[in-house]
Amino acid sequence: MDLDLSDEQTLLRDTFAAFLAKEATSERVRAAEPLGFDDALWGGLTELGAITLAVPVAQGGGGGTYLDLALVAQELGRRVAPVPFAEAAAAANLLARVGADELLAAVVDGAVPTVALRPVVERRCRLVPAGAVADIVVVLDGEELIALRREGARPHVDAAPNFGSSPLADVAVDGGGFARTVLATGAEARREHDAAVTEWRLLLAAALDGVRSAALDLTVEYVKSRKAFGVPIGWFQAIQHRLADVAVAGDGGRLLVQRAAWARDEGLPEADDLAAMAFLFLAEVAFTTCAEGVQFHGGYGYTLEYDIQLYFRRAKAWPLALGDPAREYLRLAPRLYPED
Amino acid sequence: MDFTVVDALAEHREAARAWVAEHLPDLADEVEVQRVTGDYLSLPIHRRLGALGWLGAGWPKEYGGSDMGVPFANAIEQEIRSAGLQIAGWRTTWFVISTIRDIGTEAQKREIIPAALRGELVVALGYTEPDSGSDVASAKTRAERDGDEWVINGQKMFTTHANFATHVFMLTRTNPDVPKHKGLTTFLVSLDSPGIEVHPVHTLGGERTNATFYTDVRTPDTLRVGEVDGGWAVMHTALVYERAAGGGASSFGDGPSSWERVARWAQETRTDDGTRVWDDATVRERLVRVAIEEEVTRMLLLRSSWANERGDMSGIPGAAAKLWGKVKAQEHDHVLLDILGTEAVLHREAGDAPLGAVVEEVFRANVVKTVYGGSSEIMREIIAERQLGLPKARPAR
Repeated sequence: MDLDLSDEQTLLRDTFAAFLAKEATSERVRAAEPLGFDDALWGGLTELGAITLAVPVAQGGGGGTYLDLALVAQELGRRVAPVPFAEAAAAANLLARVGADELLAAVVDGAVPTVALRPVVERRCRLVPAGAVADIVVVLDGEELIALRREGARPHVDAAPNFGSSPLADVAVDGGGFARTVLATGAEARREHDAAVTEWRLLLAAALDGVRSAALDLTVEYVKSRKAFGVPIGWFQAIQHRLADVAVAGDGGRLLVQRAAWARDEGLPEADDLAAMAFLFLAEVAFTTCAEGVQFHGGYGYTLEYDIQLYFRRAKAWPLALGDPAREYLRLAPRLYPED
Repeated sequence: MDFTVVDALAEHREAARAWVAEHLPDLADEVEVQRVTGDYLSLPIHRRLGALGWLGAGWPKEYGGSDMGVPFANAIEQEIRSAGLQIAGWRTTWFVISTIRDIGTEAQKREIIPAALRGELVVALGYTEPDSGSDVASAKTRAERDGDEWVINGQKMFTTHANFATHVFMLTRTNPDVPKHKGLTTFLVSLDSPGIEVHPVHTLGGERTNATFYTDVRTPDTLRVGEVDGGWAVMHTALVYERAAGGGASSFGDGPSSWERVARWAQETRTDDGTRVWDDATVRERLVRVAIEEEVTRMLLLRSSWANERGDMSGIPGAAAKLWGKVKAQEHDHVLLDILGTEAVLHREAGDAPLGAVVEEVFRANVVKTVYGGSSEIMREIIAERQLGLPKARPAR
């Protein structure tokens, strides 16, 4: 048992934190709305090797771990950075596993990859995360796992307007405008897609951990400075105790997501379930933390002027890419409570 | 990072099981006695555990320590706990003798600790009063010096075990004219002393506790623990031992959890309309939520033990684990009872209570866990002030 980051992990985290403090400021986040994509930031992350951090070195990646990816996702979440990290890293890892080296090389050079989480219905995938800006879309199309390669400038299509300011868009599976590559078929196709969705859960959980920790920090600072009845409102137990509750839940959530990443690095059998548990838990804690944050900002929390609203909207919107969480709970039921 | 949790007791478990079977054949009977009386120490078993060296494991020889290895003793404790035997009266005794080992006089160490390790001396805690719980330093019970003795007058509340213990460890006011933390002194008082009355207080969880009354009770100065008016420092030490014993995150050898047992029950039980309880999606969703939140409890407990081992004195990891763990335990009992349905209310005596009524028994016992050892409100105060850096919310006095 050791809950300290290694020196390398600390360096990695600090490097990204410093980079994002410059390149993912509140102004940049706001300027990237409503699309939710900052091309220059993406370029910077590509140069740092963030997207392919866990891709083997032999395939042009960083040879890092899932814990490394989770640390980067946390920092991006802390800044609500306008880049689709969870889906892109999950897609990049998938391309590496199936040996799609040509597509992977494009990612190393700055192409945006993503994975459609939901199945193909009537020849299209609805509201694919990063669907508007992705240059490579991985789709499970029946028995085939395919990659759709788009050419030209981003965004490729208009994003569906949404409160999370995410570059969500439908992706048609047939139709023109892209080259189609079959990555895998049959059981392998399903397995690889499942793995990518699981990695997305894990990295989104890490990003949500970043969202909730930054939202908590913003709120703590606000309640220390805002005065009512002659004292800082952070003096009141009604506020202190509720912030303590979300702080403790958040600490637990961080441990859960880090353990899920560690378990995946170790190849433990419970790794997939831990990723789903972390996803569900962080989705709740991130939203609760942000909702408390908005409440404690008073009327200002309702305005667009304060940054807490940036966090509030994304905390709710991001996890919904996978649908109603209740379905995720039910998916886990037979896994956590197997019948003989 | 490394989340590997090692089962440190694995190699001792089999021997511990055999030891318990050999020396404690009356274990199940004593568990049933406790359920009826609510006394959370079995004196026959406790004295035997003293004679066999279990109580003295890890203690220095000169104070009556035994040769039994601590890991083996811990494995035995786990077996005893798994059987359902409560040893809360040993816990309170242990807090006090640990405190005496740290700050007691040499004479106290040589007399009190060995007697406790033989199982002959059992100590109840006398901190709380009718008008002071979390604000323990505002105790009003008076102790006044009379030569080599002290005369104690007052009342203590929740003096659990006082009906069978030999001593009570009392927090008293020796100087009412100084700020509240500076006029306190702690004493060990024999419960045989004239002037002590012990009145039973029965609880939701079935545990018996007591209100204790002290009228001109005399205790020798030799049983004063710590300095005169230095009781608050003694309390600090005693409370550190109390919090440290707040329970580790053992996930080995404890058998299935209550939520796992309810899930199994749901998979095997049919409702009035003939469908399986488990086939109800709301049941499955609720059970998954419980499993996730309990996993978070386990993570926070592991962090707390890890921080303790590294000498972290912030109190934050322990407060976080206690706050989350106990609040969630209560919420989860509530959910599990819902899932068990109408029959959930049945006591063990009904004969056909689901899962032998264990869920309803735990539900009642857990009510107090967000209060004792530091209430949830105090834990939130610790998190708000020490972790979030928010200003002290209550007026200093």
